Amino acid sequence: MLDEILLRVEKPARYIGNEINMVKKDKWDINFAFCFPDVYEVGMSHLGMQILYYFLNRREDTYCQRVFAPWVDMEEQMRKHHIPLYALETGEPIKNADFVAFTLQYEMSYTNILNMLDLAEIPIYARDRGEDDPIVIGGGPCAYNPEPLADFFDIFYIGEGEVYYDEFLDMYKEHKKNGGTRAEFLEKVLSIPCMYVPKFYDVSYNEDGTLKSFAPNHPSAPKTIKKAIVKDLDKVFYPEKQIVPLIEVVHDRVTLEVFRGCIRGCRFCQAGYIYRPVREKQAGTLIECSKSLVANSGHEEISLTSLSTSDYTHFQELAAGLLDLYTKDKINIALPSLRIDAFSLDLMERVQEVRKSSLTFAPEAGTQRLRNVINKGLTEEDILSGAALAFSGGWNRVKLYFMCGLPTETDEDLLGVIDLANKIVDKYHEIPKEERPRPVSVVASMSCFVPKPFTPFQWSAQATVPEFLRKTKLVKTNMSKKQVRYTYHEPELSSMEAVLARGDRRVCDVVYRAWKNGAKFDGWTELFRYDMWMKAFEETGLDKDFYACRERSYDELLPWDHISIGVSKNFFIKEMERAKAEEVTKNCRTECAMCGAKAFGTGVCYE
Amino acid sequence: MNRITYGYRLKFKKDGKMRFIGHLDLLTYFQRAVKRADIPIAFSQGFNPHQLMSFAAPLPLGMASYAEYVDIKLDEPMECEEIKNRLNAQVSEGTEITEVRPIREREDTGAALLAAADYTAVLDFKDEDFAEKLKTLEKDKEWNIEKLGKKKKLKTVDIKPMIYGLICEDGEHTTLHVRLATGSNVNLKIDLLLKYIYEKLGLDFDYLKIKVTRTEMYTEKDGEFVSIMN
Repeated sequence: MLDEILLRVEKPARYIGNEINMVKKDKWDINFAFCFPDVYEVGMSHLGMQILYYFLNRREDTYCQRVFAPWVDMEEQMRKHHIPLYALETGEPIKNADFVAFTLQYEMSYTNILNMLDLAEIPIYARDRGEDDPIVIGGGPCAYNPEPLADFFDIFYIGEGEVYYDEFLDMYKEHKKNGGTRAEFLEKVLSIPCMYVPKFYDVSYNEDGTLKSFAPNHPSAPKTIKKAIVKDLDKVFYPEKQIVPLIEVVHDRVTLEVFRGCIRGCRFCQAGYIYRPVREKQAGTLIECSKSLVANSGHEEISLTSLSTSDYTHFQELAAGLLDLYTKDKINIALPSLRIDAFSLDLMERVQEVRKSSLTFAPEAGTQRLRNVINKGLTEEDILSGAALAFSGGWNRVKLYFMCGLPTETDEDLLGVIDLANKIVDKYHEIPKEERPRPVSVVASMSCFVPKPFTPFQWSAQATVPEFLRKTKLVKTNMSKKQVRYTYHEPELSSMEAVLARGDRRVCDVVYRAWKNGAKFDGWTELFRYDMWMKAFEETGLDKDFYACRERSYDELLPWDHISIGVSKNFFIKEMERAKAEEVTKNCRTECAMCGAKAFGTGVCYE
Repeated sequence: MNRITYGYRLKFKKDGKMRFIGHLDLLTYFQRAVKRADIPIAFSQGFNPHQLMSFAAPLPLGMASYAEYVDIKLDEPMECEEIKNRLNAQVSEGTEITEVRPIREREDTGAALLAAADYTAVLDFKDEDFAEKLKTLEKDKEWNIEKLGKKKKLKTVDIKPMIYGLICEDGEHTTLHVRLATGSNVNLKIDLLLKYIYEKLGLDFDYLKIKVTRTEMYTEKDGEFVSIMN
C-alpha cells in the first residue's frame, strides 16, 4: 500500500529513508524518534540533527530514528489510508517509541508539531497521555521560551544536547527495567538541571493579563532551569559521517562546526546571547574531522558553520589547511558568514569555484545612529570600503539585509537604507568605465523586526502590521536609483512570530486553535494563513497585540524568567538602557561586558 | 588534447526503495558513490569538469530494473571485480552492481547502442482469459494511439511495429512480458502500450497500480537482439 501511495506524491524519497550512512540496528532498548517539524529537505540540512543522530546512536542501547513533517500531499494520503506517522529508519509508527523529541528551530513550525503528533496518533496535550504513549521532548533555540508549547510537551531540554542525554537515557533505562511509571519518571527528571517539566509549575495572571506568579508545585522542581553547555567544544563528540540524502536537499555538503556562540552582542539577536560564551574548536581538530566527513560522504563542498565566522581566532590556519587538502580534489569551501575585508575577499577568490557571486552585507539598519542602538558594529565606512574592494576585484552584485521596526527607529533611519544602497552604486561608478563591463546590481532586502526573549529588546513593542506596511512603503516610494532593487517581507507572518516568541502558557490554546483551523507549514509564505491565526485569537479571546506590540516594563514577570541562560536580566536591562542612549557595547574579545556567562567557567571569558 | 582513459560498462539493479529515486538524483548518487569508493574516475575538461559517466537509458521513477547500464571512464585501469566490489560497498539497499566489463575499442556508448528493452508488467488483476483477449486484439492491423508531438500537437501513432514481443503469463496476477523499441530512434514507453490495451479491453487504467520492471536492454546486431552487456 505504502509503495503505491509513494508514487502518488511529490518527491517520494522524502519518506523512505535508506540513505547513505543511515544507522541500521537489529535490537535496542530505547526507541528515540527525533522529529524535525518541517519538510525532509529542510530538516536534513540541519547540522544539530546530524550531530545528535550519531551522538545518540553511538549508544548501543538506543536507536535514534528520524521523522520529518510530511508535505501536504503525503499527509492527505496518510490520513486517507490511515497510515500513522512513522520513522524513516524502521518504518515503524512513532507512537511505539519511548521518546518523541522535536527540535524547535523556529516559531513558525509550532503548528507542524501538533500536526505531526496528531498524524502519529499521539495525544496532543501532554495531560492526555498515558503509560503507553511516548514521552514528548522539546529542545533547540525556541525551547528557551517553552511556554507557548508547554501544554503539549512532557519535558523541555534547555541547552546543548551532548551534555545530559547520556545521563537522561541511563536513568530512563534503569527506570523502565524496574517497571517504573511515566509519572514517576517525570519526577526523576527534575534532578537534571537543564530539564523543564511544565506540569510541575503553576502560573497565575494579573487582571491586566500579565504574569502574576510562576512557581513549582512539586518539592523537587527547581525554581530556575539552567541551560546545559559543552565545556570543551574541541573534545566533544562530533560525527565522522553525515547522512547523505538520496535527493537534493537545501544544503548538500559537509558541515564543520567551527565554534558556538558569538562575541558580537547585536542587541536584536537571540542566538548571540543564548549560546554564550563563545567556545571554539582547534583548526587541527576541524581539519582532521573534515577528512573522514569528506571520505564518507562524497560531497563536493565543505561549509564552515558558526555565527560570524570571521571572528574565529584560527581562521587563517583553518582556511589554509582546507585549501591545501581539497583544492586538487575540486572540493569547494563555502564561507557563509564572513565580514567583507581584504582578507576574506582574497579567500573567497581562492576557494569559490563560481567566483564573483554576489556579496552580502548585513547592516540591519540604515543609519549609524540606529546601528549603534542595535549594537551592530558595522559602519558605513566598513561597508563602502568593503564594496569598493570587491568591485575592484570584479564583483558587481551586492545584497544588503535590513530590518524595519527596530526600537527607536524613525523615518530618517528608514530613508538611510536608500542612501546607503545609493552610495554603493556610486562607489561602483567610481571605477573607470572601461574596467566595469557589467552594470552594478544592489538588492536591499527588508525584514520585519521580531523582539525575542533573552535579548535586550525582549521588553520592546513590535511595530503593528499597518505600521510595518507604512514603513516598507515609505522606503519603496523613495527608492531613486534603477540599479537598486528592493524586496520586503510580509509583516503578518512576523507579527505571529512575535506572539509565539514571547508568548505565555495561554498562547498554547492559540497554537492549538490555529492548527485546528488548518494552519500548518506557517513558515512557508505560500501556505501561511493569517486568517486562521486571527480566527484562533478570536476563539480564545486572547489579544495578538498584547503579545506582539506591547512594551513591557522591567519589573514585569516574563514568561521565560524561570529559564536561565547564564546571562543576567540585569545585563539585559543595562544593555537596553545603553541602546536608548545609542551607546555601543564592545565585543567579548575587546572588553568583557560582564553579562554573567563567565560563570560557565569556559570559552572566550577565559582567553 | 588526447588522453588515455579506460572505459567500463556496469550493469546494475534498481528496485525496492530505490525505485523512488528519479534519474537526476540517481546520477548524483552514483557520482558520490564513485568518490566514496575512491575509484579513479576521469573528469571532463573545461570550465566545469564533471565525471565521465553516462547512463544507457533513464529509468522512470517508480519502475524497478534488473538491467540498468552505466558507462564510466577511469584515469587508470582497474579489475572489473574490484570496481564491482568497491561500489557495492558504497550503495544503499536496492541498488547493486551485478556485472562489470571493459568497453571494447571503438565501442559505442550504451545509450547509442540501445535498440530495445524487455519489461515485465504485473497487472492489477487476474484474468485467465487474458491471453485469449490479447490474441483477439492482435488481429487489429494497427494499434493507433494519440500522442502529444514535439509541437504540442496531438498526432496519431501506430505503436504496433514498436512491439517486438508480447507474452501473457498467468499467475497470482496476470503478467505481461514485452519487448519494446527503446532508444533515440524509435521509442515506445510501456505506459502508453498498457493504456492502449486496458482501454481497448474496457478496463480501468491506473498505471500506479501496475508494477513494471525493466529486465534487459538490447542492441541490434545482424538482425538479432543482444544484451548491451555482451
